Amino acid sequence: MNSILSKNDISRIVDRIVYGIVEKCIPPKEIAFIGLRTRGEHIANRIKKKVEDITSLQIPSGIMDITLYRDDLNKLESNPVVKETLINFDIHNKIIILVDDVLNTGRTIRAALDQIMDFGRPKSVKLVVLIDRGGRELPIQADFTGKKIDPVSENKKIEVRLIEIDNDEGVFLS
Amino acid sequence: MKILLKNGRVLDPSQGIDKKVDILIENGTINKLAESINDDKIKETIDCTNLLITPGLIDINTHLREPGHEDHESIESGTMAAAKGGYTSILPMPDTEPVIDDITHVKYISATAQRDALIKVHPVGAISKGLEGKQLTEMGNMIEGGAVAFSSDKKAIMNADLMHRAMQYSKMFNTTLILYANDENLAGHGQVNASLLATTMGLSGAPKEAEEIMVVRDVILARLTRAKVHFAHLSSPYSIQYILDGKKKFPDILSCDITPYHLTLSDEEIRGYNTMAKIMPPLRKAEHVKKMVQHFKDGHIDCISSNHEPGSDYSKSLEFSEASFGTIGLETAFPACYTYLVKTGKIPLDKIIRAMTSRPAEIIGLKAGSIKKGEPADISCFNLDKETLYDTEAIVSKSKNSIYLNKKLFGFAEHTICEGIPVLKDGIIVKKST
Amino acid sequence: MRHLIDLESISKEDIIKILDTAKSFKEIFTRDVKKVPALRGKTVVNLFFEASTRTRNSFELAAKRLSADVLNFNVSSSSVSKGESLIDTAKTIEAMASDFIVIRHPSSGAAKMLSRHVKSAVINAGDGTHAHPTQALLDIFTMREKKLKIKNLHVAIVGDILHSRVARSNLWGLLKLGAKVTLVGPPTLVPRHFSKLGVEISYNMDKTIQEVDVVNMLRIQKERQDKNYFPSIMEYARSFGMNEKRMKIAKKDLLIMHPGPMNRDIEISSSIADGPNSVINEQVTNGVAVRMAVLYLLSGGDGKFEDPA
Repeated sequence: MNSILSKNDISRIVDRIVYGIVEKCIPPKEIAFIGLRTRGEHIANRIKKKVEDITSLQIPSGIMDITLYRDDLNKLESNPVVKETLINFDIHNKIIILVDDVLNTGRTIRAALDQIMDFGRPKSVKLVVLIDRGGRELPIQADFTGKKIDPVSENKKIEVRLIEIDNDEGVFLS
Repeated sequence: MKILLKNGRVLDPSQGIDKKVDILIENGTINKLAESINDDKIKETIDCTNLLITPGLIDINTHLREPGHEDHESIESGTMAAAKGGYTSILPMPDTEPVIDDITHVKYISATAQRDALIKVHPVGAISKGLEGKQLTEMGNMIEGGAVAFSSDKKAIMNADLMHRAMQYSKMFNTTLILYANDENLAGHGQVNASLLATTMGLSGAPKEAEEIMVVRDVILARLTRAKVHFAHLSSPYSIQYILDGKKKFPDILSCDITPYHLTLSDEEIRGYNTMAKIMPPLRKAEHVKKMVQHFKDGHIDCISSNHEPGSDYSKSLEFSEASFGTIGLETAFPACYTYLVKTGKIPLDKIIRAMTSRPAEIIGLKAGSIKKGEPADISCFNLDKETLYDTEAIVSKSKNSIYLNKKLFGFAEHTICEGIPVLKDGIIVKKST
Repeated sequence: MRHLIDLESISKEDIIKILDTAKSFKEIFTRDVKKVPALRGKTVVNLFFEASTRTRNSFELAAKRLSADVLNFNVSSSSVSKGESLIDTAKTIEAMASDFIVIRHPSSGAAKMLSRHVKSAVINAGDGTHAHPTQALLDIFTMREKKLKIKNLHVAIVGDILHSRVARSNLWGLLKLGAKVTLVGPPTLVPRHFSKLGVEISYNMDKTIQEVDVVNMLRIQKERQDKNYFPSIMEYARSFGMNEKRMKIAKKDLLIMHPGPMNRDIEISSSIADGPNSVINEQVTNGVAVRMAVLYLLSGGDGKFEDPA
């Protein structure tokens, strides 16, 4: 198992993204975060807290489960458990910062975008990912990328571990 | 014409015979029984090595559906099924369309049987006109036409006054009343045994008490009138208790029978809404089935009847509440008893055979049921060692609604001989030459 | 093939899975677009042999919120007596490429029977007096939502237990999740056999109402009076109805439920039905979420809900 990012790397990346967001997403009071279950949710939380610190604003955030919007539901052996989607703010005219851990085919993001539209009409949607592993199957790109790695074979697994839910922290290739 | 049955084990409970004996049949009657008969002039010898030879079976309760529902069964097809089951005499119930409730209908059965039947058919007349339980039938006339007994069949006579008069009247002919004990009001629309299982399945139950109440009533009336009363296909051990009680004082007037499935299967069969197990009276709880087996073993139940009830595939493919009641039973009566009761050591073989041969003959007064010199040659040969899958291919009856469908059973008949004529040979029906 | 026929034949884990999934689905009702694409391209046939606008509407809405196509097939019982059997009707429907058949039928066992003959997933929306699993699931979902857990919750089911598929399904679900169940009604309408399953039977509503956390009032049908299950509606209402007098002796946080449609002022007083302890309208909302969960879970191929025999 190769380490791609250490705990410190992740921390630095989060800081860099936070500044990027504050710089590019104007006005900051229109920002709202949506983290994709499960690890995107925790990365979004970290970014949100830091943005709130810098801007002294209360920034709304939500959690999204994209299972019901997957394009492969018909083909799965069994239907995955659906966890709750929690978006307790009005999406209308917000700058939605969508956060996920790994960007690969782009299909998850497509599902997330469709789901966001069912909540209302945001002003814009920006995408934050910790790792971009390449292998896109849809025309989707991240606005803020933690680390872009050379495309790796499909059967390799990128494992993101976060202290909030895992025992340690780091990104690994296995 | 001579036929020799060689090397078989002859079991005739009426005479206490159970040994290897050869049987010589001549001109339809039994000519000779001896340890070893050798006669070069005999053209037809049937090798009965390893077969069980018994008097031809007698069914005290069957349904042939002719006239009216020849699409389900006819006298021809029903007697073929009976021959396949080792039967040589059967008593078809009067619940046909029209009901057998006068001499012309009795004669129709006799005449059709004369033409089509492979074995002996003894018609049973209805006790009341149209089985409606309102007006008595002309029993005397019907007896003249060939009726051997009278029945209320699947429609119990709810009116105690009418039942009382029917018994009084039947006494004049010393004939037997074959009664279906069921209090229709208490049984209601019950479809299965009233139990926790029925309740959880959402099926309305017919409690066994509905049977017991009528047994008690009719035992009382039989004691009052001294009429010969036979209770058909009982399902509750308490019914047997009440009959036993009556028999203590009047042993000659009361008798009863049970079906093979009420002795071998419990109401668990209805699980999954199995319509084949929809039967009236319903299959009861396993503990009650066990008690019935004990009653049978103790000699408290006189006969085993097939209660053969042919019905269409369609009627059994309907929703449980809409599906028809009943199962066919002529072909499997002995094999089911042998496989589930004798082979398992629950009941001795001779008790089963007696309940299917000489005992029903005594109750109805038929000259049949034993293998004796000079008697009609009604004989059945069963293969006790061979296991046979009873699937739709194997069924001879026109209807395939068997509760034993796709079960593997021992003891199917190999040969059935009725009045000296082989009607089943090597397990194959010998059709009547026309 | 996976079906939902009754709660007797599915595991506790599956019941919990349905309830958890339903919780996730309930959120969808708060969105601008109350619809997710999970069952896009799938067809749900509502095959109703009994009139039931409520249950059919609930299934229809559940299917539509999952983006499935819905076909309502109402068969009057007369066309069945014309000789077309349930199986014939079902085969006709399957020829239209259905993925789910939601069946409501007056005969117990009809859903089970259907499931043996079709490739579609069969969902029992009530068969005779046997089972109504989605109603029980929504009842239990509502209890769990309000009381947080089912284990050791004391639930009374009151009324015509004998003829109630709702009572039977509630019974199995509640027992599996560890609730304490008391069946209340006149002895003619409460089969004593049920005591073998470990439920209590009570003929005394005044006593039971003081002990329970939840009371589920069943609809009493006036036809039962004609068959002498009880002598009069008035005596029934006095003996078993949920009214102000009983409310006073009940626990303060008693949850009052009714599967609908209600006979106001017979089994339940109007003031109670509309009062703060009543969750009757929430039951209706939760019904859609639970039915969405069932449709969603049955559309996968993991072989859960496979019932024995």
